[in-house]
Amino acid sequence: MKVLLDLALSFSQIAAGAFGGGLSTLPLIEYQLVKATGWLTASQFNQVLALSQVTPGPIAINAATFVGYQEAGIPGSAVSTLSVVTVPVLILCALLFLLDKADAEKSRTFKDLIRPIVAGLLALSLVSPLTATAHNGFAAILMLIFGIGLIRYCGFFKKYPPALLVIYGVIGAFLFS
Amino acid sequence: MAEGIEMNAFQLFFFFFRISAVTFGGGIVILGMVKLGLADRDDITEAEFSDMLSLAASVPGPLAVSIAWLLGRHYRGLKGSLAAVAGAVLPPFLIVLALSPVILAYSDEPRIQGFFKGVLAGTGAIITTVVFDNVRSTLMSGWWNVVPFAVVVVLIGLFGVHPLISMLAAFSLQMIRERLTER
Repeated sequence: MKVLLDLALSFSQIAAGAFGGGLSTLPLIEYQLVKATGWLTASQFNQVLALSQVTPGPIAINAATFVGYQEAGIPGSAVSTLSVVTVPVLILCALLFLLDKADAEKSRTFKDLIRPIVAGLLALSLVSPLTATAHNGFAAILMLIFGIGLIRYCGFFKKYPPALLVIYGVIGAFLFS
Repeated sequence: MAEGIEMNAFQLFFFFFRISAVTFGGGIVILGMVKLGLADRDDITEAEFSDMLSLAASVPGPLAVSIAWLLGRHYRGLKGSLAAVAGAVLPPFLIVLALSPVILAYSDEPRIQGFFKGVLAGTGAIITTVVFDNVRSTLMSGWWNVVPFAVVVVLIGLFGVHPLISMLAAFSLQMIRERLTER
């Protein structure tokens, strides 16, 4: 029971700070799951990050489902995922109640104000996957650099980044084992 | 898609279920998919949808969840919201739930570890590209932006301060500056 409460608290905090969506959530997810609770080691965090990129859906939900399952089975998975969903919905409802209708002007100002904060979080989200890849050796670093080129200049991978990830995963399974 | 006939709860559920099941990474991509899916409907105006977008982007949490809630509400009130959010959340939840026991059981397997190392190298490539573009355009759009950016990076990255507290500190700074530049 205690672990379910811990999961709910942790993932509520992650959801409450998840501004800017997607990658900018990573520093907060890493802080909660690695540093604050110790549910994941640094290398497990990178596995969860990789997993979230080859499965559909937002990173926060993918991480919640996996870590919830690891800590407390299906109930843990459900509680964690529900926390990630409920907190934003409650905040949204409170905002709708206060605004009565969407106030485009206010929300534009707000977005301008959080933009550099989100950029800072994004920059931090690089640290973990890049250090881990550097530790995985020269081949991994080459794959990364080559991947940047493919994402930038190859129309197919630009449009379907998950395809690159699946191919890289298969290469990795042979190269790094 | 039938024009002029509003979506009921089931249709909202499947509308988001379909999109969510094939959208990787969430975020902006899902907004694009929702916009495409609504393109030939006349029961929601461009202005209504763009209001939803700016509201969805102003609250924390996955964009898929907030846009599903708002669109469900537009068509069917609370019932529509619940159906749409369930549709958006179930595909990733079920897929990761199915994979979790397998990953946990075989996470020490060299082949599985190698797979994730490969995916991580690709993820690094994607993140680097996205982050580089975003950070550059943010910092170029005004010299002041460097300040809150640096506050967040230094507090979290160097001093290991809780990200929520660091974000709050940077946001307070933004509010103070907003007040000062107003007059």
